[in-house]
Amino acid sequence: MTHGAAVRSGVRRAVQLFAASVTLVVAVRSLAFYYGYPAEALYDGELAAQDEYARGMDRWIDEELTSRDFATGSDRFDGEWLFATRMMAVLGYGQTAIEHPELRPEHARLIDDAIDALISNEGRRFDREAWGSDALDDLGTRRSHVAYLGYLALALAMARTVNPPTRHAALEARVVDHLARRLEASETGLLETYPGEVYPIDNTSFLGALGLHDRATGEDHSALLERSCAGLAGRYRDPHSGLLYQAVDVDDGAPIDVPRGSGTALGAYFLSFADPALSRSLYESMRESLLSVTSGFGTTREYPRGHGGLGDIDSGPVLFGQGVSATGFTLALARVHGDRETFVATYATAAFFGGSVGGNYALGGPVGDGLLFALVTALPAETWR
Amino acid sequence: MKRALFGLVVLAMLLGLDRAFASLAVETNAAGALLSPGGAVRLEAFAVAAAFLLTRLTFALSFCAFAAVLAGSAVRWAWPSPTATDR
Repeated sequence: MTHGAAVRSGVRRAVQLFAASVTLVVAVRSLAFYYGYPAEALYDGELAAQDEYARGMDRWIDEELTSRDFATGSDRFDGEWLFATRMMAVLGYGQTAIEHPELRPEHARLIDDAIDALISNEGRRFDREAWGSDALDDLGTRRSHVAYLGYLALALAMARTVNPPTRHAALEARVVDHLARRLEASETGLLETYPGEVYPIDNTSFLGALGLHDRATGEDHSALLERSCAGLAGRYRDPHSGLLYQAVDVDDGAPIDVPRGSGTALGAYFLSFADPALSRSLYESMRESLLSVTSGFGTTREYPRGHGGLGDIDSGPVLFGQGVSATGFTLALARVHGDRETFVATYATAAFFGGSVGGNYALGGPVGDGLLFALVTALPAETWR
Repeated sequence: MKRALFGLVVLAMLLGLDRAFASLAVETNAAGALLSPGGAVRLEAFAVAAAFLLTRLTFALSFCAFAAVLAGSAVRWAWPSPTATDR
């Protein structure tokens, strides 16, 4: 082979390699585009796209689910997941009814049905077994039951926002009054999830409920809300990352777990109902330390750099530092705070690994479907201002 | 050309399998099998969930590899080997 031929052969090989590499990048991006494509309609709040998720959720509301339909390996977690499935479905039905008033009559009915299941004996069991007493019987006592009542309050307040004369309005008023009194009396500014256990994320569910409650009823808890949100921002955010601590000490509120993506993301979503500015600030902290987009696929870290872990029931599996729950919860924040790019990229990841089929997810199950329904239909923060 | 067609057929089959396993996973509520931190996971649920995930990852990897190889082959076809020309 002549010298010129050898050079031409080398250049040809280099061009071949370059073309293959560029095509590989384009192919990965094409996959991200393909799986993220439905996100555009969801982000824009198109009725057909949101309705597909609502109808996918109907299946789990109509079915007689029990905690035996979950397999976490823990009776408490099975009960929590059953509860979360219906509670998040209520948020999804509520948000879509607010965005599309024509859905309101049907979704108000579905919301009431879901709440009937939430307050059933089976729905309350996981909390009753942890506390040794029933949450609804304890209304007005010193026991806060935030694991159950905080999230129930949010579902009830959403029901009342969508349909003020809901048959659950009286219960909503009792639950909100109970938790508001407990919060007023709390020295740490937080309420117990289970005896001896305090999680800021669970408290944000009640703060979100309080925001919705005041909008729906015209009552004024703004002083309590302002104080609680200021306390949350001042005492329970890591000063370096700006993320919420996952767990704090029951006596003095000192952090006993590291700041985490899953708790911060879900908390910021719930806070968007009550304090959009704090919600945005938490999302900005997440953007700085947790969010990344690689070749069109968006993911969210569970732990900020410098911290680590394998994940738990809250985070779901943590793979290469990226959290399944944190990534999913980011969808809601991206839509709430007008971040289309992150919404589409994160949706591509959720759709790819979750396997979206109509309004359901192959790897979602009841709780995954409920969560994603609420998260992809989360309302822009302006709705609550 | 024959290899490209074969690749396309394999990709189409993988995509079909992917859809089938995804629908089956939804129908059989196989989700908990991979997401649960431990405990009483049904074997058939785990098999369906794992099959779906494996098929999807295989499809994605095959699609990317197929596109890259196709691009390389296109360059080879458009720019024949200089050694072949010399001879």
